[in-house]
Amino acid sequence: MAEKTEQTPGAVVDNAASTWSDLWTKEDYWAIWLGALLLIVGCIIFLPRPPEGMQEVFDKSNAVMQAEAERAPFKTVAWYKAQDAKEKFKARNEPYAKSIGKWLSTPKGWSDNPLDALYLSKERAEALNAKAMPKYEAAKEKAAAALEEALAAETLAAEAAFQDATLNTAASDKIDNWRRARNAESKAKSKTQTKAFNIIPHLLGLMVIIALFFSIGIKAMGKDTAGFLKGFIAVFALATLAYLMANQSTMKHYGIGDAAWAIFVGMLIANTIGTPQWVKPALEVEFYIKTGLVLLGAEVLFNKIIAIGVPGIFVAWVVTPIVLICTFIFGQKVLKIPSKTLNIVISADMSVCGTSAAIATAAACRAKKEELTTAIGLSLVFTAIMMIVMPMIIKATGMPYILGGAWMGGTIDATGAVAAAGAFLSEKALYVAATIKMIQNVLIGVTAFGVAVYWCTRVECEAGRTVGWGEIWNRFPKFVLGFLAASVIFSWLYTYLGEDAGFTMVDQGVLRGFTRGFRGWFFCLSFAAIGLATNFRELRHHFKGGKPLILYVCGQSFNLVLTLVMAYIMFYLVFPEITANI
Amino acid sequence: MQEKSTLRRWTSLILGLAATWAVCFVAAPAFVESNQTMTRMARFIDESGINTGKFYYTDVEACAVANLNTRNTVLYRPHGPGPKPVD
Repeated sequence: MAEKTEQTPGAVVDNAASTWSDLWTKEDYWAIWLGALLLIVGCIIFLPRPPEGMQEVFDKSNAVMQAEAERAPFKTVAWYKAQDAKEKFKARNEPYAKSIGKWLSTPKGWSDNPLDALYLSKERAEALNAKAMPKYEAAKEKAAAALEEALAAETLAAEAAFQDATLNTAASDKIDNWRRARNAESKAKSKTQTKAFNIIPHLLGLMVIIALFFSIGIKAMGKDTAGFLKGFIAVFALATLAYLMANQSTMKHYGIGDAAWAIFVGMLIANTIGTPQWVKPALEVEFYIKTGLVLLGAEVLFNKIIAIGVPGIFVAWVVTPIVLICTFIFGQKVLKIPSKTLNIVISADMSVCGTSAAIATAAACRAKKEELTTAIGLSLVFTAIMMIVMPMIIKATGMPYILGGAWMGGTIDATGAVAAAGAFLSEKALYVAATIKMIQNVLIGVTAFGVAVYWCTRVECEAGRTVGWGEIWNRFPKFVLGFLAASVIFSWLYTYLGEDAGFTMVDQGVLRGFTRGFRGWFFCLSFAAIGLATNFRELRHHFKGGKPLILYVCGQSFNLVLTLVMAYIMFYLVFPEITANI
Repeated sequence: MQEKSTLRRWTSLILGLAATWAVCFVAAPAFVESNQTMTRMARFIDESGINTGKFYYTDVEACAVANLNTRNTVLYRPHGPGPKPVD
């Protein structure tokens, strides 16, 4: 992102040349070096330590699932138990990983007392566990009973050699009941395992670690390191407060996350008492966000695209680019939105996957921070509405839940909101919704690269002037290369290890167990810095005429229609057998 | 443009914080309670533990479970005796 003091429509001439010294003096490169450092450290910690017995369990479970798939035309109890055995293996659940995880903790959930998010005594934890025990015991009994019924129904179906459709359907329904009861038992059990915690020392330690981490780059770039370290305390405190507010129970009902809180509280401070001068050296919005994006690149695993087969690819990767491009053209030709960067950031936000797409696109096209804030604000409002309204519509119209799940996954912006809306309907709706959203998340890499190239070659040049490769290179946001390299390397690593080991060691190890924690904090720090540097009047200017709102509403309406049509065609007309077995 | 007085600026901040508190702890919960659908959704979110404010798939544990299930469904799709149907 950049503060453009002068913007001639569609033309920014940049005659800067690249030099070798850029590698250790420019922010984009430091974002790459620091991001790469964390990714390498994560790999060194997790990859040499697979959970014990992992491969044997994978081989045994896969053999069972294969055998059961050939035995019965529906997912049997044994099929599910084999899957559950695989699911237990997560590198981030190993003791060493849990110790590391403590240092990346964010404030926990709370309802009335914010201190509950930071400290829980042993006595209180034991009291909560005791209170939750009766419900767990009841859920456990119910799950056991449901399992007996499921096994009995499956045996009946097996005795008819799985040729009786009525017995097969009855068995499948009983197994679904068992899965629901088992999930309820699992949730009830987790409420009996509350542990005492005190995350305040960890937060203070993390603040020092992240401050020193970024100060390496700050010092190398010749900026005020002492000033940065001093101001960082305030920015980190604001980010912590943002996490605290995001984990309040009512805020979760509305899907208001840490990004929104960081921006809001930051703006409140900046536009009332004013951001103190001593904080300003730490308002390194772009440095935090670019480093976070390099880490996010590693989470963009291209293998995920095939998670649900061809239907998922069509819903996520065919609809999304169409909506993105059409809404950009609509914004430019029909609404005539003056700022191309605002237009593309909103289009990406609404068509791809919300805040994460907005961040990557904004950084790739050097949008203003107020434009990113506008896009995120719009996304937040509509996400809250859609999370509640869409399940209502799906139930009221009798829409099949798998179709409904695909529809929500392809349209609701935030992944958490997608998961909640999907799970509210059913487990199958959740699986489809969350998988479609995950496949869309992977599109961020292509979007960021595409926007960066388009901006360098078409937008940021004078009309009629051709742009040489040297100039494209000069203008290209280099951190995007780090983002893409991380994506390619980790996608390769995932494939090299194999699906199961890749899921356990990379997805549930290096990423969710280590780099994701840092990435989350870096983005939150960036939003806090955005808030502290944003003027209400500048922000109001972007809403003038209501064009961003009109763009979002029209674009999202188009997205809703196209996604529903494509989901129906793919899941019910072209690939009904995949749908039948989800 | 006149500089606002320190008192006025601090008053603005305090009023802003008070308004935020009122919205978060009074208006927002009241709105949830006033609507049956929202109440059910709110209860569900509390019980499921899903953090609805998270925006990327690696932030949401439910996505990992969904990924595992759909991947296994595609790889080991139940079809009964006979060859596996080709997509």
